[in-house]
Amino acid sequence: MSKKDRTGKTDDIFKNIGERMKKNRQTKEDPDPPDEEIVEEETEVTEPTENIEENKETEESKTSSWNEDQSYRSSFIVTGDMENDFEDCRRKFRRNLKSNLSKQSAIELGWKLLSSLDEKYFEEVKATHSPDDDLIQALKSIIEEYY
Amino acid sequence: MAKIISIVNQKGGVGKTTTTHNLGYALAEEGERTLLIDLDPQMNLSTTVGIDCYAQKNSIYDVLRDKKGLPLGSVVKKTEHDKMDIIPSAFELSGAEIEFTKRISSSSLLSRSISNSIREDYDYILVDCPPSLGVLTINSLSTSDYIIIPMQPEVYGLYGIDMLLSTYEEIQEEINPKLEIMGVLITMHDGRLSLHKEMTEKINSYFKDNVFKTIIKTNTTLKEAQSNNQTVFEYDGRARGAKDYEKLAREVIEYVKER
Repeated sequence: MSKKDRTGKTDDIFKNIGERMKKNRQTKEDPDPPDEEIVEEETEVTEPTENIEENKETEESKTSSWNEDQSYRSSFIVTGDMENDFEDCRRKFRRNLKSNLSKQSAIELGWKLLSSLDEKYFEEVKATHSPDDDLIQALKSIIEEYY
Repeated sequence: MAKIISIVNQKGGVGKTTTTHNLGYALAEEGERTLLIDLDPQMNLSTTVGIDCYAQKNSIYDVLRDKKGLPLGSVVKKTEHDKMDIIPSAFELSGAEIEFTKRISSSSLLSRSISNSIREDYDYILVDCPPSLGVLTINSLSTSDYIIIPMQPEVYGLYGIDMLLSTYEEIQEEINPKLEIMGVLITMHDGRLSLHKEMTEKINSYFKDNVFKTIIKTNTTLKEAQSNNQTVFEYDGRARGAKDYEKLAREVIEYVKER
């Protein structure tokens, strides 16, 4: 008599969950990618520029908060082994982006977000808030007020 | 600083509330200052602790709504155990899915309300999540350091974990990179059932160190304790359920220490 198959066709699900959990544990234990070749990658949040020469933070860049075309670069490092695993690479990149976002970058992203949401609100915001104010606080209050 | 742990599984009836209550009490018994947060609009945890959620002047709903400027500390209530407090649920939370999702910051309402002083007042904050992957659960995961996933050793429970993992991965990527799975907790295990034995073997074999060594065995005393608005420790400290949760608390403390 053959043994009853009580757990049915669950092996694939078990395997899938097990591998994802294992990957999570490994990522936690080794959060930083090793320093090797530098490659840039795009994200949904930002639009990285191809112009690497614009490295110097000039006065112009500091006062260009209203410039919606301003883009951001990342110093994220992609190693050979990461190229084989896009999901892992993407996760590490996002984490890197979050930890490296400067206050100024965060604010400018915030302004971009506001401007893309509703032009009417944005005009009102522009009239009452200056990007030279305490930006974090200003942005926070704007978001709370309008959204 | 308190470690925040979400007790989460979108499947209902897997032992989230029982685990939050009894694990919280066991941690308090170990000398850890513990805060329970009941985010489930069903209010079972709050009711079991003996709180009349309808009689609250202000509740966690008001804090999350952020209209009155109330701090989270203002809705903390004492329990019978001097080292365990609770933030009760509120019936208004049942409408939170619709109300909160309209807000741009809907995923960070809880994290914004948890101040440093609350974190300093406790060693552990356990959040009892609702049985869904909606805005309340997302808020909890966005705030937490760890998640514990209670799971019955049955096939439907397995499908639930698959879905939960997708949400977990998304939140970890987009909102809370520090979020970590502390482990899957096998609950309601009935040693007489071959299915439970085989599922448990598979869970351990595939999930490896992502599973708690402690297994919460099926135990009527756990349910009887709930009927009496008590933890299993208060109802019958010699019961198997009490021993299981005591063991789990030690495992949790050990895990956090090693991090």
